[in-house]
Amino acid sequence: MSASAKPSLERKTYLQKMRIHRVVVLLTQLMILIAFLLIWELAANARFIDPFITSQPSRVLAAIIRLHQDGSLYLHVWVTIVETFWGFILGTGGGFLCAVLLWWSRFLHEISEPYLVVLNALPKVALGPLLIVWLGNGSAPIIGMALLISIIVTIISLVSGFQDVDPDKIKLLLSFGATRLQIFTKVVLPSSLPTLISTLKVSVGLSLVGVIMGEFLVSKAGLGYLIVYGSQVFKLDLVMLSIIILAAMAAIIYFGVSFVEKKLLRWQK
Amino acid sequence: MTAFQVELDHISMTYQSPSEETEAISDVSLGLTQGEFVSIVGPSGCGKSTLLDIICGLVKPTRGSVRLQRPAGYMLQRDYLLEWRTIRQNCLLGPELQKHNMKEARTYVDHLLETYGLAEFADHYPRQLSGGMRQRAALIRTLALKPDVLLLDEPFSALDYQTRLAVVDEVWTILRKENKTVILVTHDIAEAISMSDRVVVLSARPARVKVIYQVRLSTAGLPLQRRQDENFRKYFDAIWKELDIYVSLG
Ligand SMILES: Nc1ncnc2c1ncn2[C@@H]1O[C@H](COP(=O)(O)OP(=O)(O)OP(=O)(O)O)[C@@H](O)[C@H]1O
Ligand SMILES: [Mg+2]
Repeated sequence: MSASAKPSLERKTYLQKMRIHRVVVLLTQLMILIAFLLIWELAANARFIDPFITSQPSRVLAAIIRLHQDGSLYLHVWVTIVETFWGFILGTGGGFLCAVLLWWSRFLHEISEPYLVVLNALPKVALGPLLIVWLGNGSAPIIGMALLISIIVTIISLVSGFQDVDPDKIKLLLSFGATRLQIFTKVVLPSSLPTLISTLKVSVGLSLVGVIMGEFLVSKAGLGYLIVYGSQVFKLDLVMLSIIILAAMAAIIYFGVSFVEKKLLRWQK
Repeated sequence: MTAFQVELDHISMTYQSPSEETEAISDVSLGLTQGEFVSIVGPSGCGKSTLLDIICGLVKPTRGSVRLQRPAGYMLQRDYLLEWRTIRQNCLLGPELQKHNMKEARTYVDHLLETYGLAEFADHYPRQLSGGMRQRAALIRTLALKPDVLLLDEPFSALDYQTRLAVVDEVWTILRKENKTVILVTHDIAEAISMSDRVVVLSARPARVKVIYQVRLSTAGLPLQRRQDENFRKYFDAIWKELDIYVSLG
Protein backbone atom coordinates (compact mmCIF):
# COMPACT_ATOMS: atom_id res chain seq x y z
CA MET A 1 0.00 0.00 0.00
CA SER A 2 3.00 2.24 0.47
CA ALA A 3 4.14 1.80 -3.09
CA SER A 4 1.63 4.26 -4.48
CA ALA A 5 1.96 6.01 -7.81
CA LYS A 6 4.47 8.79 -7.18
CA PRO A 7 6.59 9.09 -4.05
CA SER A 8 6.65 12.63 -2.70
CA LEU A 9 9.80 14.68 -2.37
CA GLU A 10 9.81 14.16 1.41
CA ARG A 11 9.59 10.43 0.88
CA LYS A 12 12.53 10.52 -1.53
CA THR A 13 14.73 12.49 0.86
CA TYR A 14 13.73 10.18 3.69
CA LEU A 15 14.64 7.07 1.70
CA GLN A 16 17.88 8.70 0.59
CA LYS A 17 18.73 9.44 4.21
CA MET A 18 18.00 5.87 5.25
CA ARG A 19 20.26 4.52 2.49
CA ILE A 20 23.11 6.77 3.58
CA HIS A 21 22.57 5.75 7.19
CA ARG A 22 22.80 2.05 6.30
CA VAL A 23 26.01 2.58 4.33
CA VAL A 24 27.56 4.56 7.19
CA VAL A 25 26.72 1.80 9.70
CA LEU A 26 28.17 -0.89 7.45
CA LEU A 27 31.35 1.09 6.76
CA THR A 28 31.90 1.77 10.45
CA GLN A 29 31.46 -1.89 11.26
CA LEU A 30 34.04 -2.80 8.60
CA MET A 31 36.45 -0.12 9.81
CA ILE A 32 36.34 -1.41 13.36
CA LEU A 33 37.26 -4.89 12.14
CA ILE A 34 40.07 -3.59 9.93
CA ALA A 35 41.40 -1.31 12.67
CA PHE A 36 41.39 -4.20 15.13
CA LEU A 37 43.37 -6.46 12.79
CA LEU A 38 45.75 -3.64 11.89
CA ILE A 39 46.48 -2.66 15.50
CA TRP A 40 46.95 -6.33 16.40
CA GLU A 41 49.42 -6.81 13.53
CA LEU A 42 51.37 -3.60 14.19
CA ALA A 43 51.45 -4.06 17.97
CA ALA A 44 52.88 -7.55 17.49
CA ASN A 45 55.46 -6.31 14.99
CA ALA A 46 56.53 -3.54 17.37
CA ARG A 47 56.64 -6.07 20.21
CA PHE A 48 54.09 -4.15 22.31
CA ILE A 49 52.49 -7.55 22.64
CA ASP A 50 54.26 -10.87 22.41
CA PRO A 51 53.20 -12.64 19.18
CA PHE A 52 54.31 -15.92 20.72
CA ILE A 53 51.29 -15.85 23.02
CA THR A 54 48.92 -13.55 21.12
CA SER A 55 49.81 -14.62 17.57
CA GLN A 56 49.13 -12.02 14.86
CA PRO A 57 47.01 -11.76 11.71
CA SER A 58 49.86 -12.42 9.26
CA ARG A 59 50.88 -15.58 11.15
CA VAL A 60 47.27 -16.78 11.28
CA LEU A 61 47.00 -16.23 7.54
CA ALA A 62 50.22 -18.17 7.00
CA ALA A 63 48.89 -20.99 9.18
CA ILE A 64 45.68 -21.08 7.19
CA ILE A 65 47.63 -21.35 3.96
CA ARG A 66 49.77 -24.10 5.42
CA LEU A 67 46.77 -26.14 6.57
CA HIS A 68 45.05 -25.47 3.26
CA GLN A 69 48.04 -26.88 1.39
CA ASP A 70 48.26 -30.07 3.40
CA GLY A 71 44.43 -30.37 3.34
CA SER A 72 44.05 -30.77 7.12
CA LEU A 73 42.12 -27.48 7.39
CA TYR A 74 39.16 -29.06 5.60
CA LEU A 75 39.35 -32.24 7.60
CA HIS A 76 39.02 -30.35 10.91
CA VAL A 77 36.30 -28.01 9.67
CA TRP A 78 34.38 -30.88 8.12
CA VAL A 79 34.55 -33.01 11.27
CA THR A 80 33.19 -30.15 13.38
CA ILE A 81 30.43 -29.37 10.87
CA VAL A 82 29.29 -32.99 10.66
CA GLU A 83 29.26 -33.40 14.44
CA THR A 84 27.39 -30.12 14.89
CA PHE A 85 24.89 -31.15 12.24
CA TRP A 86 24.07 -34.45 13.92
CA GLY A 87 24.04 -32.92 17.39
CA PHE A 88 21.65 -30.26 16.15
CA ILE A 89 19.37 -32.66 14.26
CA LEU A 90 19.17 -35.12 17.15
CA GLY A 91 18.90 -32.46 19.87
CA THR A 92 16.33 -30.30 18.09
CA GLY A 93 14.43 -33.18 16.49
CA GLY A 94 14.35 -35.12 19.75
CA GLY A 95 13.48 -31.99 21.70
CA PHE A 96 10.64 -31.23 19.30
CA LEU A 97 9.19 -34.72 19.61
CA CYS A 98 9.41 -34.61 23.41
CA ALA A 99 7.77 -31.17 23.43
CA VAL A 100 4.88 -32.43 21.28
CA LEU A 101 4.44 -35.37 23.65
CA LEU A 102 4.42 -33.11 26.70
CA TRP A 103 1.89 -30.76 25.04
CA TRP A 104 -0.26 -33.74 24.15
CA SER A 105 -0.32 -35.22 27.61
CA ARG A 106 -0.79 -32.86 30.52
CA PHE A 107 -0.06 -35.81 32.80
CA LEU A 108 3.36 -36.48 31.29
CA HIS A 109 4.14 -32.78 31.47
CA GLU A 110 3.29 -32.62 35.14
CA ILE A 111 5.39 -35.71 35.85
CA SER A 112 8.43 -34.50 33.93
CA GLU A 113 8.53 -30.93 35.19
CA PRO A 114 10.96 -31.32 38.16
CA TYR A 115 13.25 -33.55 36.08
CA LEU A 116 13.41 -30.98 33.31
CA VAL A 117 14.17 -28.17 35.74
CA VAL A 118 17.06 -30.09 37.33
CA LEU A 119 18.46 -31.35 34.02
CA ASN A 120 18.31 -27.83 32.64
CA ALA A 121 20.33 -26.43 35.53
CA LEU A 122 22.87 -29.27 35.48
CA PRO A 123 26.11 -28.29 33.68
CA LYS A 124 26.11 -30.76 30.82
CA VAL A 125 29.88 -30.79 30.58
CA ALA A 126 29.91 -32.68 33.88
CA LEU A 127 28.45 -35.62 31.98
CA GLY A 128 31.32 -35.61 29.47
CA PRO A 129 33.44 -38.32 31.14
CA LEU A 130 30.37 -40.55 31.41
CA LEU A 131 29.66 -40.07 27.72
CA ILE A 132 33.21 -41.14 26.90
CA VAL A 133 32.89 -44.26 29.03
CA TRP A 134 29.55 -45.16 27.51
CA LEU A 135 30.01 -44.11 23.90
CA GLY A 136 33.73 -44.64 23.31
CA ASN A 137 36.15 -42.07 22.00
CA GLY A 138 34.96 -41.48 18.44
CA SER A 139 32.43 -38.93 17.29
CA ALA A 140 29.61 -40.44 19.34
CA PRO A 141 30.36 -38.79 22.72
CA ILE A 142 30.88 -35.44 20.97
CA ILE A 143 27.52 -35.65 19.21
CA GLY A 144 26.07 -36.84 22.52
CA MET A 145 27.39 -33.72 24.22
CA ALA A 146 25.89 -31.46 21.54
CA LEU A 147 22.58 -33.29 21.87
CA LEU A 148 22.50 -33.07 25.66
CA ILE A 149 23.31 -29.41 25.74
CA SER A 150 20.57 -28.42 23.28
CA ILE A 151 17.74 -30.86 23.92
CA ILE A 152 16.54 -29.71 27.35
CA VAL A 153 16.38 -26.03 26.42
CA THR A 154 14.58 -26.97 23.22
CA ILE A 155 11.98 -28.99 25.12
CA ILE A 156 11.36 -26.31 27.71
CA SER A 157 11.00 -23.39 25.33
CA LEU A 158 8.92 -25.32 22.78
CA VAL A 159 6.49 -26.63 25.39
CA SER A 160 5.95 -23.17 26.80
CA GLY A 161 5.52 -21.85 23.25
CA PHE A 162 2.91 -24.54 22.49
CA GLN A 163 1.06 -23.78 25.70
CA ASP A 164 1.06 -20.04 25.05
CA VAL A 165 -1.39 -20.38 22.18
CA ASP A 166 -4.55 -18.35 22.78
CA PRO A 167 -7.07 -20.74 24.37
CA ASP A 168 -9.86 -19.02 22.47
CA LYS A 169 -8.25 -20.00 19.17
CA ILE A 170 -8.37 -23.58 20.39
CA LYS A 171 -11.96 -23.08 21.47
CA LEU A 172 -12.74 -21.90 17.93
CA LEU A 173 -11.31 -25.10 16.48
CA LEU A 174 -13.13 -27.23 19.05
CA SER A 175 -16.38 -25.56 18.01
CA PHE A 176 -15.68 -26.94 14.52
CA GLY A 177 -15.20 -30.39 16.04
CA ALA A 178 -11.42 -30.49 15.56
CA THR A 179 -9.40 -33.46 16.85
CA ARG A 180 -6.37 -32.94 19.06
CA LEU A 181 -4.05 -33.69 16.14
CA GLN A 182 -5.85 -31.07 14.03
CA ILE A 183 -5.58 -28.53 16.83
CA PHE A 184 -1.86 -29.15 16.90
CA THR A 185 -1.21 -28.99 13.19
CA LYS A 186 -3.66 -26.21 12.28
CA VAL A 187 -3.19 -23.81 15.17
CA VAL A 188 -0.60 -24.71 17.78
CA LEU A 189 2.26 -25.41 15.39
CA PRO A 190 1.73 -22.43 13.07
CA SER A 191 1.25 -19.99 15.95
CA SER A 192 4.42 -21.30 17.63
CA LEU A 193 6.47 -20.81 14.49
CA PRO A 194 8.19 -17.69 15.87
CA THR A 195 9.06 -19.61 19.06
CA LEU A 196 10.21 -22.53 16.98
CA ILE A 197 12.60 -20.36 15.02
CA SER A 198 14.03 -18.56 18.03
CA THR A 199 14.54 -21.98 19.62
CA LEU A 200 16.28 -23.12 16.46
CA LYS A 201 18.61 -20.15 16.67
CA VAL A 202 19.54 -20.97 20.23
CA SER A 203 19.88 -24.72 19.78
CA VAL A 204 22.04 -24.58 16.67
CA GLY A 205 24.44 -22.32 18.57
CA LEU A 206 24.34 -24.61 21.59
CA SER A 207 25.09 -27.64 19.41
CA LEU A 208 28.26 -25.94 18.25
CA VAL A 209 29.15 -25.19 21.88
CA GLY A 210 28.51 -28.84 22.77
CA VAL A 211 30.67 -30.08 19.91
CA ILE A 212 33.61 -27.87 20.86
CA MET A 213 33.25 -28.93 24.50
CA GLY A 214 33.13 -32.55 23.43
CA GLU A 215 36.19 -32.11 21.22
CA PHE A 216 38.04 -30.55 24.15
CA LEU A 217 37.41 -33.71 26.16
CA VAL A 218 38.01 -36.36 23.55
CA SER A 219 38.85 -36.09 19.87
CA LYS A 220 41.36 -36.74 17.12
CA ALA A 221 40.12 -34.05 14.78
CA GLY A 222 37.90 -30.98 14.63
CA LEU A 223 38.30 -27.31 15.49
CA GLY A 224 38.01 -28.01 19.22
CA TYR A 225 40.81 -30.54 18.90
CA LEU A 226 42.91 -28.00 16.99
CA ILE A 227 42.42 -25.43 19.76
CA VAL A 228 43.48 -27.84 22.50
CA TYR A 229 46.40 -29.16 20.46
CA GLY A 230 47.55 -25.66 19.49
CA SER A 231 47.53 -24.43 23.07
CA GLN A 232 49.38 -27.52 24.33
CA VAL A 233 52.24 -27.16 21.84
CA PHE A 234 52.11 -23.35 22.10
CA LYS A 235 51.15 -22.84 18.47
CA LEU A 236 48.80 -19.95 19.17
CA ASP A 237 48.39 -19.40 15.42
CA LEU A 238 46.41 -22.64 15.31
CA VAL A 239 44.24 -21.56 18.24
CA MET A 240 43.45 -18.16 16.74
CA LEU A 241 42.79 -19.69 13.34
CA SER A 242 40.28 -22.13 14.81
CA ILE A 243 38.54 -19.36 16.73
CA ILE A 244 38.25 -17.24 13.59
CA ILE A 245 36.83 -20.13 11.61
CA LEU A 246 34.36 -20.83 14.44
CA ALA A 247 33.26 -17.20 14.33
CA ALA A 248 32.73 -17.51 10.58
CA MET A 249 30.71 -20.71 11.10
CA ALA A 250 28.58 -19.01 13.73
CA ALA A 251 27.93 -16.13 11.32
CA ILE A 252 26.94 -18.49 8.50
CA ILE A 253 24.59 -20.36 10.84
CA TYR A 254 23.03 -17.10 11.99
CA PHE A 255 22.34 -15.91 8.47
CA GLY A 256 21.08 -19.33 7.49
CA VAL A 257 18.50 -19.32 10.27
CA SER A 258 17.53 -15.73 9.49
CA PHE A 259 16.92 -16.77 5.89
CA VAL A 260 14.67 -19.64 6.98
CA GLU A 261 12.89 -17.24 9.33
CA LYS A 262 12.12 -14.81 6.51
CA LYS A 263 10.79 -17.61 4.31
CA LEU A 264 8.58 -19.12 7.03
CA LEU A 265 7.19 -15.94 8.55
CA ARG A 266 6.16 -14.21 5.36
CA TRP A 267 2.61 -13.70 6.61
CA GLN A 268 3.86 -11.78 9.62
CA LYS A 269 5.72 -8.93 7.98
CA MET B 1 -43.48 -28.30 22.15
CA THR B 2 -41.73 -30.08 19.30
CA ALA B 3 -41.37 -27.14 16.93
CA PHE B 4 -38.24 -25.86 18.63
CA GLN B 5 -35.01 -25.92 16.72
CA VAL B 6 -32.94 -25.41 19.87
CA GLU B 7 -34.19 -26.48 23.22
CA LEU B 8 -32.48 -26.08 26.57
CA ASP B 9 -34.01 -28.34 29.15
CA HIS B 10 -33.33 -27.40 32.78
CA ILE B 11 -29.64 -26.68 32.30
CA SER B 12 -27.43 -26.31 35.39
CA MET B 13 -23.68 -25.95 35.46
CA THR B 14 -21.21 -26.01 38.32
CA TYR B 15 -17.48 -25.59 37.67
CA GLN B 16 -15.01 -27.41 39.89
CA SER B 17 -11.57 -26.02 40.58
CA PRO B 18 -9.03 -26.85 43.30
CA SER B 19 -9.89 -23.76 45.34
CA GLU B 20 -13.64 -23.66 44.96
CA GLU B 21 -16.87 -24.67 43.35
CA THR B 22 -18.54 -22.10 41.08
CA GLU B 23 -22.20 -22.43 40.28
CA ALA B 24 -22.48 -20.69 36.92
CA ILE B 25 -25.94 -21.65 35.70
CA SER B 26 -28.99 -22.69 37.62
CA ASP B 27 -31.93 -24.36 35.91
CA VAL B 28 -32.17 -22.49 32.61
CA SER B 29 -34.78 -23.62 30.09
CA LEU B 30 -35.32 -21.97 26.73
CA GLY B 31 -36.68 -22.87 23.30
CA LEU B 32 -36.07 -21.20 19.95
CA THR B 33 -38.11 -21.72 16.80
CA GLN B 34 -36.59 -21.79 13.32
CA GLY B 35 -35.42 -18.36 12.22
CA GLU B 36 -35.81 -16.74 15.62
CA PHE B 37 -33.30 -14.15 16.83
CA VAL B 38 -32.88 -14.18 20.62
CA SER B 39 -30.50 -11.99 22.61
CA ILE B 40 -29.21 -12.81 26.05
CA VAL B 41 -28.22 -10.00 28.41
CA GLY B 42 -27.03 -10.33 31.97
CA PRO B 43 -24.54 -8.97 34.47
CA SER B 44 -20.81 -9.56 33.90
CA GLY B 45 -19.64 -13.03 34.78
CA CYS B 46 -23.13 -14.41 35.25
CA GLY B 47 -22.59 -17.40 32.99
CA LYS B 48 -23.57 -16.25 29.48
CA SER B 49 -20.50 -17.65 27.73
CA THR B 50 -20.88 -20.85 29.69
CA LEU B 51 -24.42 -21.18 28.38
CA LEU B 52 -23.24 -20.85 24.77
CA ASP B 53 -20.39 -23.30 25.39
CA ILE B 54 -22.97 -25.79 26.61
CA ILE B 55 -25.24 -25.29 23.59
CA CYS B 56 -22.24 -25.73 21.29
CA GLY B 57 -21.26 -28.93 23.11
CA LEU B 58 -17.87 -27.65 24.30
CA VAL B 59 -18.90 -27.98 27.94
CA LYS B 60 -21.08 -30.72 29.35
CA PRO B 61 -23.75 -29.37 31.70
CA THR B 62 -23.87 -30.74 35.23
CA ARG B 63 -27.61 -31.24 34.86
CA GLY B 64 -30.11 -30.92 32.05
CA SER B 65 -29.79 -31.38 28.32
CA VAL B 66 -29.64 -29.53 25.02
CA ARG B 67 -31.59 -30.60 21.95
CA LEU B 68 -30.23 -29.57 18.59
CA GLN B 69 -30.66 -31.17 15.16
CA ARG B 70 -27.21 -30.23 13.88
CA PRO B 71 -24.15 -28.70 15.52
CA ALA B 72 -24.41 -24.95 16.02
CA GLY B 73 -21.96 -22.42 14.60
CA TYR B 74 -20.06 -20.38 17.19
CA MET B 75 -18.74 -16.87 16.81
CA LEU B 76 -16.49 -15.49 19.51
CA GLN B 77 -15.78 -12.06 20.91
CA ARG B 78 -12.77 -11.55 18.67
CA ASP B 79 -12.56 -12.79 15.12
CA TYR B 80 -9.61 -15.16 15.75
CA LEU B 81 -8.77 -15.26 12.07
CA LEU B 82 -5.54 -17.22 11.72
CA GLU B 83 -2.90 -14.73 10.60
CA TRP B 84 -1.02 -17.19 8.40
CA ARG B 85 -4.05 -18.09 6.31
CA THR B 86 -5.69 -15.98 3.65
CA ILE B 87 -9.29 -14.90 4.16
CA ARG B 88 -10.53 -17.70 1.91
CA GLN B 89 -8.43 -20.30 3.73
CA ASN B 90 -9.74 -18.99 7.04
CA CYS B 91 -13.32 -19.28 5.85
CA LEU B 92 -12.67 -22.85 4.73
CA LEU B 93 -11.38 -23.90 8.16
CA GLY B 94 -14.61 -25.62 9.27
CA PRO B 95 -15.09 -27.75 6.13
CA GLU B 96 -11.38 -28.58 6.16
CA LEU B 97 -11.43 -29.80 9.77
CA GLN B 98 -14.55 -31.85 9.13
CA LYS B 99 -13.07 -33.26 5.92
CA HIS B 100 -15.92 -32.11 3.71
CA ASN B 101 -15.72 -32.04 -0.05
CA MET B 102 -13.41 -29.05 -0.43
CA LYS B 103 -14.46 -28.21 -3.97
CA GLU B 104 -18.09 -27.76 -2.96
CA ALA B 105 -17.06 -25.91 0.19
CA ARG B 106 -14.90 -23.56 -1.81
CA THR B 107 -17.67 -22.79 -4.26
CA TYR B 108 -19.98 -22.01 -1.36
CA VAL B 109 -17.43 -19.87 0.49
CA ASP B 110 -16.58 -17.96 -2.67
CA HIS B 111 -20.29 -17.37 -3.15
CA LEU B 112 -20.59 -16.02 0.41
CA LEU B 113 -17.49 -13.83 0.01
CA GLU B 114 -18.94 -12.50 -3.23
CA THR B 115 -22.40 -11.85 -1.75
CA TYR B 116 -21.04 -10.10 1.31
CA GLY B 117 -18.46 -7.93 -0.40
CA LEU B 118 -15.23 -9.70 0.47
CA ALA B 119 -14.51 -11.33 -2.89
CA GLU B 120 -11.62 -9.03 -3.72
CA PHE B 121 -10.03 -9.72 -0.33
CA ALA B 122 -10.29 -13.52 -0.58
CA ASP B 123 -6.55 -13.90 -1.12
CA HIS B 124 -5.53 -11.21 1.37
CA TYR B 125 -4.20 -11.93 4.85
CA PRO B 126 -6.31 -10.90 7.86
CA ARG B 127 -3.96 -8.08 8.88
CA GLN B 128 -4.78 -6.32 5.61
CA LEU B 129 -8.47 -6.02 6.54
CA SER B 130 -10.31 -3.53 8.72
CA GLY B 131 -11.98 -4.63 11.95
CA GLY B 132 -15.43 -4.66 10.40
CA MET B 133 -14.32 -6.70 7.40
CA ARG B 134 -12.52 -9.17 9.65
CA GLN B 135 -15.69 -9.71 11.65
CA ARG B 136 -17.62 -10.30 8.44
CA ALA B 137 -14.98 -12.84 7.39
CA ALA B 138 -15.36 -14.56 10.77
CA LEU B 139 -19.12 -14.74 10.17
CA ILE B 140 -18.60 -16.30 6.74
CA ARG B 141 -16.22 -18.82 8.32
CA THR B 142 -19.06 -19.78 10.69
CA LEU B 143 -21.61 -19.91 7.86
CA ALA B 144 -19.38 -22.12 5.70
CA LEU B 145 -20.61 -25.23 7.52
CA LYS B 146 -24.22 -24.19 6.87
CA PRO B 147 -25.32 -24.40 10.51
CA ASP B 148 -29.04 -23.89 11.25
CA VAL B 149 -28.23 -22.25 14.56
CA LEU B 150 -25.64 -19.55 15.28
CA LEU B 151 -24.27 -18.64 18.69
CA LEU B 152 -22.69 -15.19 18.90
CA ASP B 153 -20.73 -14.27 22.03
CA GLU B 154 -20.35 -10.49 22.13
CA PRO B 155 -19.16 -10.54 18.53
CA PHE B 156 -19.05 -6.75 18.22
CA SER B 157 -17.37 -5.76 21.45
CA ALA B 158 -13.88 -5.52 19.93
CA LEU B 159 -15.06 -2.91 17.41
CA ASP B 160 -15.15 0.84 17.86
CA TYR B 161 -18.59 2.43 18.16
CA GLN B 162 -18.94 3.73 14.58
CA THR B 163 -17.87 0.45 13.02
CA ARG B 164 -19.97 -1.44 15.49
CA LEU B 165 -23.24 0.20 14.40
CA ALA B 166 -22.43 -0.55 10.76
CA VAL B 167 -21.34 -4.14 11.41
CA VAL B 168 -24.46 -4.83 13.48
CA ASP B 169 -26.59 -3.88 10.48
CA GLU B 170 -24.43 -5.96 8.15
CA VAL B 171 -24.41 -9.06 10.28
CA TRP B 172 -28.09 -8.78 11.01
CA THR B 173 -28.86 -8.50 7.30
CA ILE B 174 -26.71 -11.53 6.51
CA LEU B 175 -28.28 -13.65 9.24
CA ARG B 176 -31.82 -12.67 8.18
CA LYS B 177 -31.04 -13.38 4.56
CA GLU B 178 -29.65 -16.81 5.39
CA ASN B 179 -32.66 -17.37 7.68
CA LYS B 180 -30.59 -18.57 10.64
CA THR B 181 -31.73 -19.16 14.18
CA VAL B 182 -29.55 -16.95 16.34
CA ILE B 183 -28.59 -16.63 20.00
CA LEU B 184 -26.67 -13.43 20.64
CA VAL B 185 -24.94 -12.63 23.92
CA THR B 186 -24.29 -8.95 24.43
CA HIS B 187 -23.68 -6.31 27.08
CA ASP B 188 -25.33 -3.67 24.97
CA ILE B 189 -29.04 -3.42 25.76
CA ALA B 190 -29.78 -1.24 22.73
CA GLU B 191 -28.03 -3.72 20.47
CA ALA B 192 -30.07 -6.57 21.94
CA ILE B 193 -33.41 -4.80 21.43
CA SER B 194 -32.61 -3.53 17.96
CA MET B 195 -31.57 -6.93 16.61
CA SER B 196 -33.85 -9.42 18.33
CA ASP B 197 -37.28 -10.97 18.36
CA ARG B 198 -36.86 -11.75 22.06
CA VAL B 199 -34.50 -10.55 24.77
CA VAL B 200 -33.69 -12.90 27.66
CA VAL B 201 -32.52 -11.21 30.85
CA LEU B 202 -30.41 -13.38 33.12
CA SER B 203 -29.86 -12.87 36.83
CA ALA B 204 -26.48 -12.45 38.45
CA ARG B 205 -24.45 -15.65 38.90
CA PRO B 206 -25.67 -18.34 39.01
CA ALA B 207 -27.58 -17.41 35.88
CA ARG B 208 -31.33 -17.89 35.97
CA VAL B 209 -33.85 -16.64 33.44
CA LYS B 210 -35.19 -13.51 35.11
CA VAL B 211 -37.58 -12.30 32.43
CA ILE B 212 -38.07 -12.62 28.68
CA TYR B 213 -39.22 -9.68 26.55
CA GLN B 214 -40.98 -10.22 23.26
CA VAL B 215 -39.76 -7.23 21.23
CA ARG B 216 -42.58 -5.67 19.23
CA LEU B 217 -41.48 -2.65 17.26
CA SER B 218 -43.62 -1.16 14.53
CA THR B 219 -40.59 -0.02 12.57
CA ALA B 220 -39.43 -2.65 10.12
CA GLY B 221 -35.90 -2.47 8.78
CA LEU B 222 -32.32 -2.50 9.90
CA PRO B 223 -31.34 -2.45 13.60
CA LEU B 224 -30.13 1.13 13.30
CA GLN B 225 -33.58 2.24 12.10
CA ARG B 226 -35.31 0.16 14.73
CA ARG B 227 -33.54 2.21 17.35
CA GLN B 228 -35.72 5.16 16.29
CA ASP B 229 -38.93 3.30 17.11
CA GLU B 230 -41.21 4.95 19.64
CA ASN B 231 -41.38 1.82 21.78
CA PHE B 232 -37.61 1.29 21.80
CA ARG B 233 -37.05 3.47 24.86
CA LYS B 234 -39.73 1.56 26.76
CA TYR B 235 -37.95 -1.78 26.31
CA PHE B 236 -34.62 -0.19 27.07
CA ASP B 237 -35.78 1.25 30.39
CA ALA B 238 -37.47 -1.98 31.42
CA ILE B 239 -34.40 -4.11 30.71
CA TRP B 240 -32.11 -1.56 32.35
CA LYS B 241 -34.21 -1.80 35.46
CA GLU B 242 -34.24 -5.60 35.38
CA LEU B 243 -30.46 -5.71 35.09
CA ASP B 244 -30.29 -3.71 38.27
CA ILE B 245 -27.15 -1.90 37.21
CA TYR B 246 -25.74 0.19 39.99
CA VAL B 247 -23.25 2.81 39.10
CA SER B 248 -21.01 3.11 42.07
CA LEU B 249 -18.88 6.22 42.27
CA GLY B 250 -15.60 6.26 44.10
N1 LIG C 1 -13.41 -23.36 33.05
C1 LIG C 1 -13.88 -22.76 34.16
N2 LIG C 1 -13.54 -23.22 35.38
C2 LIG C 1 -13.99 -22.63 36.51
N3 LIG C 1 -14.81 -21.57 36.54
C3 LIG C 1 -15.19 -21.04 35.36
C4 LIG C 1 -14.74 -21.60 34.11
N4 LIG C 1 -15.27 -20.87 33.10
C5 LIG C 1 -15.99 -19.91 33.69
N5 LIG C 1 -15.97 -20.00 35.05
C6 LIG C 1 -16.68 -19.13 36.00
O1 LIG C 1 -18.04 -19.22 35.72
C7 LIG C 1 -18.67 -17.95 35.84
C8 LIG C 1 -19.36 -17.60 34.55
O2 LIG C 1 -18.41 -17.39 33.52
P1 LIG C 1 -18.83 -16.96 32.05
O3 LIG C 1 -17.60 -16.74 31.28
O4 LIG C 1 -19.81 -17.93 31.52
O5 LIG C 1 -19.58 -15.57 32.31
P2 LIG C 1 -20.05 -14.46 31.28
O6 LIG C 1 -21.43 -14.10 31.63
O7 LIG C 1 -19.79 -14.90 29.89
O8 LIG C 1 -19.06 -13.27 31.66
P3 LIG C 1 -18.68 -11.98 30.80
O9 LIG C 1 -19.81 -11.04 30.95
O10 LIG C 1 -17.45 -11.48 31.48
O11 LIG C 1 -18.45 -12.45 29.40
C9 LIG C 1 -17.56 -16.97 36.20
O12 LIG C 1 -17.63 -16.75 37.58
C10 LIG C 1 -16.29 -17.69 35.83
O13 LIG C 1 -15.25 -17.33 36.71
MG1 LIG D 1 -18.49 -14.09 28.34
